[in-house]
Amino acid sequence: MYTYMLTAALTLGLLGCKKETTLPTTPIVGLGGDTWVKRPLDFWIDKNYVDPYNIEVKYKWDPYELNYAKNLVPVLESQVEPVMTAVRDIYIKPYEQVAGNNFIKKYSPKLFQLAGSAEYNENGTVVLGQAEGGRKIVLMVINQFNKANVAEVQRMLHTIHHEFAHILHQIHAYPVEWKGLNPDKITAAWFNTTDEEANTQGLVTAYAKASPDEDFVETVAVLLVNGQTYFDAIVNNPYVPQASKKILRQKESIVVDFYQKEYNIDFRKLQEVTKQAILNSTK
Amino acid sequence: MKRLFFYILLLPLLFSCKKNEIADEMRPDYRLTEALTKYNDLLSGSANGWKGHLFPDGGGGFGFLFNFNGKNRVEMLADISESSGKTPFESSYRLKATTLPSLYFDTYSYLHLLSDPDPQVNGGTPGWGLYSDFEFSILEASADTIKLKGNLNGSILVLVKASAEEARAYKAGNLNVLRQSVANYLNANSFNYLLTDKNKTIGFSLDVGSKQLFLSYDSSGVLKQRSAPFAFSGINDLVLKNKLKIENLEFDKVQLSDDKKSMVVFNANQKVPVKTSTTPLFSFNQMLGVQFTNMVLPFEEDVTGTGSNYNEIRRVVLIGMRAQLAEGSTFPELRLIFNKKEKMMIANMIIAQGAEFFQAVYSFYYTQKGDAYTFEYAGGLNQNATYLEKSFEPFTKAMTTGSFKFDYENGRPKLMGSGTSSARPDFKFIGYLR
Repeated sequence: MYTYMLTAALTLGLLGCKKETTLPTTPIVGLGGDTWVKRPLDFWIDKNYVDPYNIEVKYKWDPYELNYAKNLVPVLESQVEPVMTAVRDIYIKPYEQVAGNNFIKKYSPKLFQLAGSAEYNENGTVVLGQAEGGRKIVLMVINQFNKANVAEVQRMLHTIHHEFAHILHQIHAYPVEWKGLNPDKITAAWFNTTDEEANTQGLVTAYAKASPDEDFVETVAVLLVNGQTYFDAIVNNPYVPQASKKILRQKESIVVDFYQKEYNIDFRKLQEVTKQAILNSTK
Repeated sequence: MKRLFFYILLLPLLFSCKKNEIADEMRPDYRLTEALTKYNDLLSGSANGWKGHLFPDGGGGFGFLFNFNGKNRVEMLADISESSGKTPFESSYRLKATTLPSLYFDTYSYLHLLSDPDPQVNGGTPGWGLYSDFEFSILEASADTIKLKGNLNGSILVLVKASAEEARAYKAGNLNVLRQSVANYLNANSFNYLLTDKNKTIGFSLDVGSKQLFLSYDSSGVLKQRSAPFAFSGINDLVLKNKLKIENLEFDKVQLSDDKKSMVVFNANQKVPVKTSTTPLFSFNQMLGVQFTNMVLPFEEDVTGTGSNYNEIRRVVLIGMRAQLAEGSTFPELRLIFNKKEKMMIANMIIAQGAEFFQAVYSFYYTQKGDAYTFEYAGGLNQNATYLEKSFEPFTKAMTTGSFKFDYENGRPKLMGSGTSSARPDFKFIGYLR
């Protein structure tokens, strides 16, 4: 039986067909992304994101850009422009003003993916925003965005500034002394700590406890989006011990130096401009 | 045998080189593009749009009218809320090559209200909503019907070409009119049924809230039930998700008459009328736990037909409880809730204080012999119940003395039933069956 099989296999080889093949010339379906008939919203995105910054804003549903095993919903079209206007004015414009025209073009993540709802986890928590490898930022709960809600605007911009700071420290590393400030507080179970507890340990948020990198970008995001007054309030909180106050101040000064030294950006000015932008955008 | 099998295996080799049925450039994705174009043309090709019947995996059904313009824009009406039934909403769609050619409703619309993971939107499960879909694989398509299946949750969507008359009706808000007409019909006709060829009575009840049709029938003494979700459709139709079949009566569509006064079901192409009755079709004991589980006793009033002993005890309980609570407290309802599976009856006293409502919940075990029910008090289930237990005691005592018989109270505008003590025939209460 085995020999038969072998012979059969050999026969197959002998009879293999000769075929003149040329490569097909028609493009593969979907290569280069989906297309649709453009409308004013698409032109607005082209004008405000694609043309000036080469940043793509994907607002149409694409399950593979999100967690496709979860149940999220797409955005309400009328919400896209208000959200992306806030992102432009509170994230892109301040950097442009302080760091020059080319800075964002060179470093910013190139894709904003929008989702209408949050992503619900089995344990009852929800994911409100996400980012991947310095290339993509997912903004969620777009359908409930209201520019007059300052906390909501800050939350959304926090995600963006957080991710962008990752890119900046991955290109130029922050000083190694940062990692020695409170290594004992770093934990994978950061979510068991509240923000207030984290503050007493010399960290701006609970998530900052995840790793020194997260700590660095959370500090940047808080200083920019929540602002200096908010940061000072954390430091001056009577429940925060002296040692932690000192650590927080050290972190602040490392951040300011880092932006100056590595990117020639006046961080104080960036803070001021961002603060003003949030005020203007949430009017 | 083995050898024969082997030759069969070799057979394809003889034919393997003939390939002229596939042209040179006919790659799968070429045909895929063709399919997508074909579906796109089909969708936009219906001048009056498509009637949509969506059956989410989470249950129920929803009727839609879709107008696809062929340029990624779709306008829809939906039987989800009053406003979605009359105000058209425009959003985006596209056809995408996934495992199967798929139709994506790719920006938020009425359809997405059912899928929204936020329970505040649809009252569904957090994270999942009503387990509905907005990306659908196209399973089958003919010139006037397209069958689709949700990619995430597997909901069923069927699109059927609409006629000009239907499209006009939808745009005039017919989805709302139809829902209201069915509700009115059900208010006027409490007991509906179908008759099979063998004269078997099949109870026919529609739940407009959960969008389900229930059929109940007697099967050697036990009441059995079948159900199917339905969606409002066209001018007078209720389209079922699946065919229901009992004996040789088989149908997947219910139709309200033009004057909204009667209904028929479609068995093949034959119309079978839905008959109505003024009295319940099955005995109280058969229907308990099937069509109703609650007997709601109006506790502050003398309901006509109730026994004198019951009313005496009711008044004693009222006086006792009023004295224990803040002035102005009233006790509008005592709900007797039967759980057939656990053989429990919950007596839930509703307490009203201004605009606020509270409950005192008592539990009883019961045993059933034929049509006689005997109750045993099992205790209060919440703090209010414990606090008021002493005042409630006369009722508890009456319920646990002797056995009880339950029956319908016919000839009342709403479905009502009564319970009568065998030990004291004038301990008779009457309440609404829900």
